[in-house]
Amino acid sequence: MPLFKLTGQGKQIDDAMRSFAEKVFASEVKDEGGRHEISPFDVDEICPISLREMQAHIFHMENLSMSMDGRRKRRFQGRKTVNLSIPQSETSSTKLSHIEEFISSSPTYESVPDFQRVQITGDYASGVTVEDFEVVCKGLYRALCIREKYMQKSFQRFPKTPSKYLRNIDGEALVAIESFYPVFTPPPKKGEDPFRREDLPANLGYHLKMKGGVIYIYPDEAAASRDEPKPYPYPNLDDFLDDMNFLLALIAQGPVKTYTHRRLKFLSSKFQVHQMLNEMDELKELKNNPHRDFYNCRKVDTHIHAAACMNQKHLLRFIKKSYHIDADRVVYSTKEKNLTLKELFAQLNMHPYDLTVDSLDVHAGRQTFQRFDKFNDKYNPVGASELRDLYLKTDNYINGEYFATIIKEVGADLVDAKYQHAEPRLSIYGRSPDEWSKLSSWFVGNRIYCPNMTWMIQVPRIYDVFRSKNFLPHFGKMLENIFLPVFEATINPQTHPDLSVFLKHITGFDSVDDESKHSGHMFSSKSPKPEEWTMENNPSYTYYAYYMYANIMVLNCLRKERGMNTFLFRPHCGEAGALTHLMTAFMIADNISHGLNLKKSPVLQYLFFLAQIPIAMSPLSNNSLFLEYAKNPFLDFLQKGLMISLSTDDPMQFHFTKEPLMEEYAIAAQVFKLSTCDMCEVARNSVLQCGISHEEKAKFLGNNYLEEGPVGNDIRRTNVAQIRMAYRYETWCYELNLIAEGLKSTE
Amino acid sequence: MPRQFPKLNMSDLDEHVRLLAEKVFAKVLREEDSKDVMSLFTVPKDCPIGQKEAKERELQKELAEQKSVETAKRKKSFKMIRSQSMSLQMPTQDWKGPPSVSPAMSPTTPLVLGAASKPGLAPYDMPEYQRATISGDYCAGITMEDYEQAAKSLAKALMIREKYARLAYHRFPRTTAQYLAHQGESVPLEEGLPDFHPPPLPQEDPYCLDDAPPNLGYLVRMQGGVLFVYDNQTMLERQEPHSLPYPDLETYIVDMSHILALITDGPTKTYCHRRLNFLESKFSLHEMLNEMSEFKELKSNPHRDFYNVRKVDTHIHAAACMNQKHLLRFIKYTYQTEPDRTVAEKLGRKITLRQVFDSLHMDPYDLTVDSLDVHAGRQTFHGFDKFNSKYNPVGASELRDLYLKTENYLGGEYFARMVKEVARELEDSKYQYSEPRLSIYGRSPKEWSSLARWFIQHKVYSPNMRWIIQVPRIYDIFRSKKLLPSFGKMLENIFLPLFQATINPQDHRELHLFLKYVTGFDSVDDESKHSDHMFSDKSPSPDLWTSEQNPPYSYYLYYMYANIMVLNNLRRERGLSTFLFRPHCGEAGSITHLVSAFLTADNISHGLLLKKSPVLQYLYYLAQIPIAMSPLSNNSLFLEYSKNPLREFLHKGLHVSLSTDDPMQFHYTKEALMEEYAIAAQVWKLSTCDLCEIARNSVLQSGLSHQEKQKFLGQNYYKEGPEGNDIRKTNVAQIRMAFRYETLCNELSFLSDAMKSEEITALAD
Repeated sequence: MPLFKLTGQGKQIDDAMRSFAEKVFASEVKDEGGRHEISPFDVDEICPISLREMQAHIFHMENLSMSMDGRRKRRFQGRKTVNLSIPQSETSSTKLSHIEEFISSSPTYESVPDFQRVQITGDYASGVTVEDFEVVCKGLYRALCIREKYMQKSFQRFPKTPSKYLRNIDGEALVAIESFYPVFTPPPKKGEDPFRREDLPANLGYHLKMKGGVIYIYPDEAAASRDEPKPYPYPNLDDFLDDMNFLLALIAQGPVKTYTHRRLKFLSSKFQVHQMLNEMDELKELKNNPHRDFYNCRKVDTHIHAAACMNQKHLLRFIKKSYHIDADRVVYSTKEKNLTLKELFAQLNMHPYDLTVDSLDVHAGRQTFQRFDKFNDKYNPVGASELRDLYLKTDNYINGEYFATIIKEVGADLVDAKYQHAEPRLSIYGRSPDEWSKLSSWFVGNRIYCPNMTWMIQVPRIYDVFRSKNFLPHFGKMLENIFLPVFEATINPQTHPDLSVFLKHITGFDSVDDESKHSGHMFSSKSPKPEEWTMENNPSYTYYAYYMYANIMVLNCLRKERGMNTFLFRPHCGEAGALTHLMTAFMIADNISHGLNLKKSPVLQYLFFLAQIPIAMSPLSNNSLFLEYAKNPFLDFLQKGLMISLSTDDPMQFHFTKEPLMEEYAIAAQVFKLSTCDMCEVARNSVLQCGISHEEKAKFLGNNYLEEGPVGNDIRRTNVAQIRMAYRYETWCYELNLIAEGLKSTE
Repeated sequence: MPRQFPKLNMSDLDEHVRLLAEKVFAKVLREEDSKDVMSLFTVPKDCPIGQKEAKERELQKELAEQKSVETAKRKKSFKMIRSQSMSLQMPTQDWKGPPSVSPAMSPTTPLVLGAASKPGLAPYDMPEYQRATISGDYCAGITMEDYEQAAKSLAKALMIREKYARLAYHRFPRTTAQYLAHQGESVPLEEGLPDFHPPPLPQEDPYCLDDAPPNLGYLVRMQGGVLFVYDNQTMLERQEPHSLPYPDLETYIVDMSHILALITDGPTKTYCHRRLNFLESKFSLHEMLNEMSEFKELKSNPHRDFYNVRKVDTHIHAAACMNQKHLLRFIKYTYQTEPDRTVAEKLGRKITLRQVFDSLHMDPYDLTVDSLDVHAGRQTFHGFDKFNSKYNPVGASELRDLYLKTENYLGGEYFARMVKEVARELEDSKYQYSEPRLSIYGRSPKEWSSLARWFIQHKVYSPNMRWIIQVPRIYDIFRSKKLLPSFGKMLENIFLPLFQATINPQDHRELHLFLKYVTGFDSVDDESKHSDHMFSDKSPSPDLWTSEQNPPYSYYLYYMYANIMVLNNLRRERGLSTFLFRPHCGEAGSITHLVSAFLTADNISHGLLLKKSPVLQYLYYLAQIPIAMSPLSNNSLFLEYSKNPLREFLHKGLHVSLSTDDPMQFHYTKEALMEEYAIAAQVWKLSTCDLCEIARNSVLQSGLSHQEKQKFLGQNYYKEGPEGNDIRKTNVAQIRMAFRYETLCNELSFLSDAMKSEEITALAD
């Protein structure tokens, strides 16, 4: 088993590597406070001394290798890399070690028009020596294997194409990828009640206990007392830390940075040339595509918060309407007495008729730039938490009825638009064990089903707030409050019918808060266990992410076994803060939101490209918080071939029109001069990234959407040119093949 | 006193000015092809040697000035005047000549010893805010002589514009007029304002044909490209026209030459560049000091926010006023519901809708916005020819004729239905208005009656729409096809029907009715197309312009203005509504286009090239000439979004609004105007106050009636400054209005102070 082999290999990491990793972390921490002249993660193009030293290093290494390994270098230089390097059919048992087979296996896509391919010779080893190239390839190979391992264990997605290359390098046969795929709830059939509970599976009566921050499953209480859990693949923290330390060292190594930086530049340049050569041909494909255009391509808002999913005008009108209709209804409870809607507004010294979006003050303006705490205040209409409690909360005196009504109105707008979908986030804080039952009662009781919406649960990283108020004794209790009810409902759905039904509509978990808040704690084997984390400090981002992933992994194994839908882990990541956040997400997240800081690390950026990790970007949201619109790397990432989609994040704060997602696309199209093919590519990515069902994706993208490359693209549904798909696929295979070639040269 | 056009003679023009004007024009032609190191219109910023030499020249002038006793005396007297003026330069309600003492004192302004009397109260409740007073800014970096010369020239330029504006019933700001009146004959401020037709009352029929005034029987003849009105045949034979202010070309050339010379004058360029920089810096300071106070004003403003302030799309083409998805759905709908309807006729054979699509080898079900190909993408950038072809869906003129024309086999029914659908959406949204352009080409005398019939027959009236007639500058095409013998015939086809409908409305009821909803004229085409001809008094008269070449932009503008001016005076005399001249101007091409518009236009669309000429930019600021900007449209044609000067112009205080230009080409959402505001807000971080200021500007700029503007902006909307702002309706902070008004008064006071300085020096002598 390759997984065991990797585990054994991981054990060999030495103390020097660990020590180096800690040094990198300390340097990264210091880097946040002030401008570090030479960042360990950047390739510093403007620092002359660094450039000179790099050149000296290359010169020295080349001299050394010439004298010691002249023969091997000459043999390597003589090898030609074929640009059309796509993997063989799975049935082929022949290895990809012979050059002749590459030449003869040129792609024969029936459905792709001829186009001018961009061929750049001699690009593979430029900038690094042969020895460094081999070291780089080993590092990238192992990094990809690490991600593949964590994705497969948790039933999250890892693309088929790099798996094929990794298996070929290993000399192993490719295991059927589909067995590791996530499970999504299919859409209800016509006439079927989306909240029906008759078909819930039977209770199993298993016993649950949290140990070391992870929930373990026991067949019964006796086994629990003997600590004999059922044989699920429980996570191993030591392995995780070893893998993490390896990656931490990798992203700071000079040769790896140099190589990946150059590869990324090549990706950018190749796309520019491709566009110059083939833009018109791609356009012709789209013009000849009947019935489909950008407007009637499906597009998913892959990152949106339910509490801000309406635009401010919608919220304002709803507030006024509710006052108009329900003025005398008791809607709010204080310690002294119950208040009617009229009394509540009187207490706040306002009349809804006079209310404006300015006094509502939910729109983010210039003052919120770089001020996350001010940004969070925008969730309180008129700066009054009373109105937020009443209109934007699920758990209040009226059981979240107003919030439910607003969301259903937004859902109805999506249904009217037909081609727009959304994945709103609802919050579970981990503050108490009954949050899930309350949320699911709210969801099922208000019948918040919409065919154009699937749901995500976001967990704010605010343990320190709850701890300081003595709501929680330790971090482990928070994890238990978040995950134990879900495990319970999975094991005994008959006992938790509302929650079981609700979980059918949940597709994943998000981790959310201001990433620029810094925790001094480095996650390591010396870190306290969650049950022992009793201090008032907040754990670090990586600590949160690992324990969320660990529990989701076990939960997914259990649910897969029971034939239930599984969950993706899709955290906010790389909007600000340390680069270690993105490194953590590389290991354990199915996809991420934002990802801006990939700009700062060419190694991580290249790894995200090789693994095609989905990224939901919100340039408008970033525009108000951390990064001005024109400086957003969205266009750069799209051109290089990273798997990105557009999302709105918070329409209440950022958008003006009735169609926030279209507004997001419109602004991107104008500022970045996107073509129709670009926009449809982004829209297609959004469908691939999201948690809608396999049946819906097959309908929206084509029956073969799981295939990568033009084979998986049905232009009649996606309006993405086959030339574009072929270019992307061949470029991706070429980059993966470079790694395979690099490793073979060491044999 | 009868209104007459004051005549100047060419001999009055300084020979030097004439030669300089011709040199400017010749240089501009050459400059269009190559980059000139020392541009005539810009202040060199990137050329180090130019900057060094400019500094050297200023130093020499300063040294020379020190040796002049007379200059020193004048400087001293000027400083005395200046200290009394302070930063609050506001005319009072009962303005009577130059003020000897400041009418109001800011709490932050120190009292000046010897102040003649107690300061009078400001004419409005002055809001408290942190005023940024910058002392010594008037003549830093420029000598006294240069300052006085620049100020006088600018004042003269403003008076020239005021003259042309009043004669044509175009708008000129009251504040600027009050400062200029010191030097000239005072004119009642209400004289020469435009007249817009009020909207029909709710119960009133917008298509009533029975209220036309009686015929007058006047005769009309075109002479030298301008229509002259005669009371009867006898007066016609005696060449004694009806008493109206007929324009004089020679005078116009003299005036234009002054402006052309001015915009290249070195000291004036330096002065204006400096003033513009001060305007920008003052706004930045104001924003830093008062942003939160302005925001508090808006938060305290009940019931009004950006969403429910009125906003007008001040520049939009009717043929592209729907978005592409709307057009696509309409095409599919018509095919689905009436495929067998006869929609065209070719060589006497009737063609059904199905046959039209068959002949184009397509099925509407397969049609997409990509195959429709009306959306502007990267390929249209700098390719205006490609841009214009975007008006043809699927590249097929058949579909354009059928769906986007007012004259076709269906009598323009499909186009009318789509326009009405767009209008219904505006009415539903309630707070958005639009001024679509319809085309009159001047190709034939029947165009007006056909257009009016289309409007009435299909009932295209909407309370949220006002109409502008655009005249494409494509005489060369019609001439080459021998549809027109001369340019004069084109002008006659455009204007004669309007004169006749004004004089004898009983005989032209439909056109008379249509003109109630028309508020102005636009001149449109690719400004970057070049003409070798320099417009001057030696240019051929329109009747004699028989060559196949297109006249230059300035020629078109003058003759359109001339006829509009006469027409407006005639209509005002009859108690009918007047028309504004609102050309496309300064999107590309020569800077002289903006000079022409400065004289002839009420307001302009685009105005991007003002960036290149600080003198013109400053003049547009002082005269508060309205500019409708379309950054999204420019983004696809001539200027990338982030380089668009809208934000810069807004900060300095130019009178700018936002418009969509062509939603079919450029916009994605159902609310094109809101999309335009949304993108501007995001990319340039505009505040709510900024957005509402632009929206208020759009209402002021538009052809909405006096009654509507009072309803949307407040009873006193026509007054400038906070007095004219009703924050309950506009959501524009009074602090912002006060800052804008006081800043404009301060700039204007530099001009009037320069003129007073001369008088005082003379008195001292």
